[in-house]
Amino acid sequence: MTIQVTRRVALAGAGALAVPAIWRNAAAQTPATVTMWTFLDPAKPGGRETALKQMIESFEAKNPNVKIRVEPQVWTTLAEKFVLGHNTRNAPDIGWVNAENLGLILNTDAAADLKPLVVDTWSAQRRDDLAVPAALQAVTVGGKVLAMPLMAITWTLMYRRDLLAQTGLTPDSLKTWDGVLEAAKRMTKDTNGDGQPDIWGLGLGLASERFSATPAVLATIGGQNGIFTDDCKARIATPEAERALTWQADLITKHRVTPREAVAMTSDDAIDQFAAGRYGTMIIANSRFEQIQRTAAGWNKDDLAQVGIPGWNAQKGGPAVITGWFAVAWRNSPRLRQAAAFIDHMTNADAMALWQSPGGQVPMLKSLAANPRMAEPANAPLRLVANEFSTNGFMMPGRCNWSRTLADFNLATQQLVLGQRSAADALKIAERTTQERQ
Amino acid sequence: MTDVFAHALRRRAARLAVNALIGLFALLPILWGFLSSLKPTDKIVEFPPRLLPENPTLEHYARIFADNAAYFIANSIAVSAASVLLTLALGALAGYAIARFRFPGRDTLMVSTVAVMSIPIASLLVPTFTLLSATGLADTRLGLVLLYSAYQLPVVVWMLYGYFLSLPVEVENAARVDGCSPTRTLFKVVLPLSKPGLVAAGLFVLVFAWNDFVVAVTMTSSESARTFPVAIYFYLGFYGREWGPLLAASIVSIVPIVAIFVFLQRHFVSGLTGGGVKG
Amino acid sequence: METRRAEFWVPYRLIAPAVALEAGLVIGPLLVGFWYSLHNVRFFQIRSFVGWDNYMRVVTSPEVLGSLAATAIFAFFSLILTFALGFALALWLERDGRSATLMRAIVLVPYMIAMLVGSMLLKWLFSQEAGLSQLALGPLGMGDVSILANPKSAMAALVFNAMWRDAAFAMIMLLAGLKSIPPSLHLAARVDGADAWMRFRRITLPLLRIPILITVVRLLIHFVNILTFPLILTGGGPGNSTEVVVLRMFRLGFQDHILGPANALAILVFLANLALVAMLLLLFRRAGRL
Repeated sequence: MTIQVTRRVALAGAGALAVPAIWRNAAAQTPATVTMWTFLDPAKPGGRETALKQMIESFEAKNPNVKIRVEPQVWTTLAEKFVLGHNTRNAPDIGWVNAENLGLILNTDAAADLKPLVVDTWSAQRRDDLAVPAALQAVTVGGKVLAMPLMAITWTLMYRRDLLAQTGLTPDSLKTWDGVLEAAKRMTKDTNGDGQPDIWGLGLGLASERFSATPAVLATIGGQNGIFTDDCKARIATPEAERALTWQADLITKHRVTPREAVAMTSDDAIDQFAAGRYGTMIIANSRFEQIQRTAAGWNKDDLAQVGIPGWNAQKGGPAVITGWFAVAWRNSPRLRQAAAFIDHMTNADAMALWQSPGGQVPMLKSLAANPRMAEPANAPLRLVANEFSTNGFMMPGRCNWSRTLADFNLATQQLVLGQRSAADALKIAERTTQERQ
Repeated sequence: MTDVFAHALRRRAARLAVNALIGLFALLPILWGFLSSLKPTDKIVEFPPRLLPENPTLEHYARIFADNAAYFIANSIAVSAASVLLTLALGALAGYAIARFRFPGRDTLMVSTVAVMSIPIASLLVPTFTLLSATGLADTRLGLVLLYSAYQLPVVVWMLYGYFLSLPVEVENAARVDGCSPTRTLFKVVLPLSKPGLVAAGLFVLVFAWNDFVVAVTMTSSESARTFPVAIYFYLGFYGREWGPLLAASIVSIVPIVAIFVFLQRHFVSGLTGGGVKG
Repeated sequence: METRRAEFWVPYRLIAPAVALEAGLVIGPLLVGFWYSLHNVRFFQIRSFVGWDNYMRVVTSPEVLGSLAATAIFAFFSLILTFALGFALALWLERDGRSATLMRAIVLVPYMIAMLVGSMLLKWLFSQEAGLSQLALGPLGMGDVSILANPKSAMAALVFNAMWRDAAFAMIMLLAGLKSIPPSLHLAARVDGADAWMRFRRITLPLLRIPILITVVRLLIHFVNILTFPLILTGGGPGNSTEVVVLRMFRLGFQDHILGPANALAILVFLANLALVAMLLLLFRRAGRL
């Protein structure tokens, strides 16, 4: 008797634990529920979340027999899981993929061709309205459009207005790497007299984990117009890269405007330090602007400002490398038509207006960028980025696997700073490891 | 007389000092995390750091519960409890077989138990995802339970085998003479005697299942199957690391497991005894 | 005769569920991983059969060889120090009483907090720039030392992380063994005039042989397969000095998206684990005979 009871309890328990599976299958049978994986949770407060929520509502109002179900994911594993899901015929109808991971989509057969379903349905006017056409070109392989750009993000040089003003320099001097170095030297100071600077001129996160773009990467891209050939051969062991890498390592070893600990700091660690008021300048993704303002400790958050990526000379600005998020429709989705319709809906003029406000994203349409609202001072950061995209926009070739190339540059910098290798040798390793991933 | 008294006092003071040092070593990082979790967002990374929060706030704790932490904690409790029960059940059966029977393949089995323990779990993730997906177990709590049990079972078999060896065999023989089947003997006679051993083995499974993040983040995608550690990881978001809720959630996640441990402490230590010495 | 035959199958019936679970969810995936290791797998999709090429690629890779050295250093020091600290704690907290009970609970907290969070907090404490390590090192005149920016001290920090979390595990395992030694043995030895060290050598150590073996084996497996500590605390750096072999494997698979070499490395790590455990078992067996 007791054994039977236990067994029944156990079965009930197992049943309860398996509920999501059953629920999922049941949901799959209603043809009109489109599942989407993204890192945003529309149920939560926040500008981007609200924008997505409104888009879903307007889409569902227009298409009463289609429901959009969002399954928020940890952003770092989104693309991997989408492809793994595809391999087992179990992917969501729509998945978001970040630019660094586009290789996963463009080199596998997981994504549906959105050209006939979305792009071909566009009017010429809508096509011409794209502010960042390079993003769409980069995901077009052999005439197929395998993803749709949703949000464009790039790296900018963020700086503290108050600290720059104290140096007597103007933001214009931040247009060249030499100018940045000069400003950084003047900003670095020891305020409490313990022999250690408390404010460093330039912050860097150089760890091989949770990394982001650094001056060395961007100066290399700017100097030699990319780090890949068109067929994804890595071009990293080059004089241009050597110049950029040496410049970066010198910040720590020669000029002492960056703390040595940078070799162990992740991009998150360094941003925390920037927010804590420890750095005068740092290269950061523009999507972090808000967060830094929110966490600014010991300084006025309105002193946060940004300029485009510097170049080696003032005539040619550095690259505004286009990253951000793309929507991918699963090729084997039984609801491919509805999924494509929703992707179209997330990228139309109304949606793009929502991404811009309340979403706080850079306008991806020319018509939006020209909107008088963009001239408001509050939108200055977005205006700057939109400008950078149009003048210096640069898209990595989507097929090349560059997600860890940024870490390769970081490792090379670590080795140079620690005196383990010469710049040329360190870059040879970086080139080889990047090449091995192609 | 006073000499003896002073000596005892000195000893006591020395003991206290060593204990304080141990406590500092163990708790300092966690204490720092706890104190930081009480600071407002714009004070957490403040420089120079301040140990005590100036204006302590519970906003981060309020935030995690607004983010549905209660549901994810419930999920974690369900998954952990089921994993513990399943692992103990299967582990008791197998451990009993190895402890009380001599059969062809027994040595192979014991060696394989150690072998299975030595497989790096990280290497199994991709094939496992494929397998779970194909069987419909991906993105379910049941899938997680089966995986956690599979990963912890070898250790539990090993521990329970040792514990069973330490039990007197006479009682079982008596039960067997009375006509009990081996399974019945196990459940009616051996397991009631093995409570400490079960508690000890179960707590190791619990610590693993409660804290696992790597397996859960790979195998689940919907919110309905999300466990608490995965929910914590969400605060390392695309738009930045949110120390406040991250730390608050981490502190909250320790509370149940420490409470369980304190509650079961006596069993825990004595339960390892049998397994430890005779294993 | 009939019951005999029925009896024969009993142990197999008892182990069947456990074997089935392991076969399905551990051995099965391991074999699939082995299958991957023989192929060129790009972006999670099998492209072509390459035989043992991935193994050749892995054993000749300078990064992998470097990671093996890092693993050996980390596992060696972590094992010795964690075990020693755990043993010391076990001896110290062996006696019953309220304070010992409380202390045991305190020591276990680092073991029970998620490894991810524990390592993040330690990184914060070790960081010179965040200003916390200076609180401890400043008075010693080492204010300008960055623990994590130097390969040797970064490795030391990693070993510290292992000790901080896992000493409690060793303590609990050994405490159990200590408790099972009959107090009468110590008493008798004391009457015979044996001092504390003698009693430890002649009574405690020999009787703890098996718990020590189990603790050492489990710690060793844990340290050789470590991923979370270096992933969070040091990111494998600086200059790859703390990139242990499982971290390398993880990066090949989940960040570089080349599963062939990743799985080849996994199989090799598994075999190395087995060899290590076998060696330890032999060592203890021999020591037991001496």
